[in-house]
Amino acid sequence: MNVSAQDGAVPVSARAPWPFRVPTAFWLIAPAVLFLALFFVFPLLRLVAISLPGGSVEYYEQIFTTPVFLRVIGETFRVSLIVTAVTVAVAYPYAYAMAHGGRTVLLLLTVALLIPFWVSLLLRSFSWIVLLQNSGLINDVLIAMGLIEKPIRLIRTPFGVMIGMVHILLPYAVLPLYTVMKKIDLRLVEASSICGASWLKGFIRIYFPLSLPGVAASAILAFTLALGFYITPALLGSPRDMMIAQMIAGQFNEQLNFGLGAALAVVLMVLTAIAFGLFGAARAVLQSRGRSKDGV
Amino acid sequence: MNAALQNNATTAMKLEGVSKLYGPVKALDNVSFELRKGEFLTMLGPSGSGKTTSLRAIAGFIQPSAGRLLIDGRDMTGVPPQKRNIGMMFQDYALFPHMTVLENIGYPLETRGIKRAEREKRSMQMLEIVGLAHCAARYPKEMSGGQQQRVALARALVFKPDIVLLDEPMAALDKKLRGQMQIEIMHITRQVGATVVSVTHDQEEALVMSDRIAIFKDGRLEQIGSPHELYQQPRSEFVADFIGEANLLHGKARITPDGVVVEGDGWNVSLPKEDPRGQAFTSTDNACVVLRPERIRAVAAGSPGVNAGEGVIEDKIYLGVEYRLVVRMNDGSKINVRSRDVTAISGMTAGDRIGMAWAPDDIVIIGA
Repeated sequence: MNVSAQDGAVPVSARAPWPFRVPTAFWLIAPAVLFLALFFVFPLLRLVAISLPGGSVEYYEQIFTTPVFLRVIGETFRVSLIVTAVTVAVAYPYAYAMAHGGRTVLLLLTVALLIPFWVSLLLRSFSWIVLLQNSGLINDVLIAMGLIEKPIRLIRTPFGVMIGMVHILLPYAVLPLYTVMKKIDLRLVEASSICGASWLKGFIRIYFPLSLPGVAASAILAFTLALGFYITPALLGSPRDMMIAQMIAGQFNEQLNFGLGAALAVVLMVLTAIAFGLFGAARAVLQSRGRSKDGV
Repeated sequence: MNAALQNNATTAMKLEGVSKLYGPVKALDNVSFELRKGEFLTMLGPSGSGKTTSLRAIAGFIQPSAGRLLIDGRDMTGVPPQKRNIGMMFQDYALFPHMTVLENIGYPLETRGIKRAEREKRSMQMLEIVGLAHCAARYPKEMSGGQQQRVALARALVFKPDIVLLDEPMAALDKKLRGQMQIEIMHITRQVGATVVSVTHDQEEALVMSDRIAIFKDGRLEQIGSPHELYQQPRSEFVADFIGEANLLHGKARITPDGVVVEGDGWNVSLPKEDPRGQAFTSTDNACVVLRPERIRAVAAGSPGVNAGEGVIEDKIYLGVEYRLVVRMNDGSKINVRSRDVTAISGMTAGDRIGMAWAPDDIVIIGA
């Protein structure tokens, strides 16, 4: 029952060749494809079906006419954008140090990056409560140093949510940046300096443009992950800072309104896809402009 | 202008006792030499000899552990690369992949605050000199290795630097292109009147391109001079062996009433009394004789005399214009002979004894 291409050449087999030639590689990915089809694509289609009971779009109507839903969706995108910007900004120098700081620095920074990665998300979000709460470490230290008199409200604020999210997203943003930066030939930076450029000039004109694919990859990753955050805003934010994932969970777990919950999930998915598409389009435009601009 | 520069022969750069230590390893050991304005100097040596370290020290990428580097009389210690006004062509060119050819060449002008219009004009002029005016809008990866090299050269020359550094300029090219680019780089750098320091491990490249060659070994400057000087008057066995083809014969000196004789088993070299080369020797000193293969005459065996030797032919190879012989001496060492004297050699075969003769003027003697 071998279906590989060489089989036909073997004279022993007098039978007609297997009519449907399936590439060998297919059998390697078959388990994964099957798994995804069964446990991802199928439930997803079910979700879409639930959100459209009898072909009616009533739940979608409800979402787009109810201000609180729109506000949460808007807030989700706003927080995700800010968090993405901050995460990439923090990840950039971190990845730079990893890529060009030598072996010891790489080892230390990788360990520092990955140890929290192995700790559960829930645990990390709780740890931030310990740090950020009114009687937490940060407020205690600030008071002890005499910098403030009363505790600052850090927890149950958008600021608290963002700190937690940035921390959790950091490894996802650092790794794609590191991968791209590591491949940047540092002799280009040397070439820039012998051409008369200061470090800053060389960074702006040479290094940063070459690292942009990494910036894009890490921004996309951080942004899509941020859109779906659930535990962290639930623990570190106030009800006012609710994000869309919390609202979906609420519809399923508390309101038992499966139809509305499913519709919200579909909306999140579609908006994420649109954001993705816009990003891709922007990149394509940028690239094509970069090309035509140089038509001297 | 070139002629005027050569007449003045003013110093463009000076290394004074430059050393570089990496832990206990001496990458550069007390290197001193001068670079004249408008000259093409090649630093030649095997890998790990210190030539690349010297180049990087001149560029300012590394700081010497000791010694001084002067460019145009100014001490460059602690001056970063971007303030040295040096152009450099990197081994694999280091062209900026996201910039066009014209932007690449214009970059050194951009960093010097030259306006776009002027920048493009000067970059185009440079592109014309290297013969790539039609490639201005291309990206480096759309060009062949030879074209990329010319772009890199243009970028290194466009701002009229005090010194241009070439790091293994031919290393990334295939063999066919090398010969062509050697001549071309020589022409272009001469045309713009550049002062050039090149690094290579290829002696032929050094001979073709350079006004002077600095030979490095184990972090030290072994000898510096014109290709002709190094070939004719090597001061060490290493230099003799590194530049051109050389037979090294080890023997002992003996003072005679007529001068000095250096002899080994089955060969000798006799220097008359007035020859300055012999005057440094005392009896029983070890000496090394450098015999160039093309300077040895094949003669009939069994006629020993002065400035002659004898051996057994191991191999005889006919190369059209000349014969190449490998001759085993009495002490087992082998020497190469290249001869165009077809009548003398055609009758000889491997295994025959052969006589060889040479003129004292063709011989270099190195005290060992």
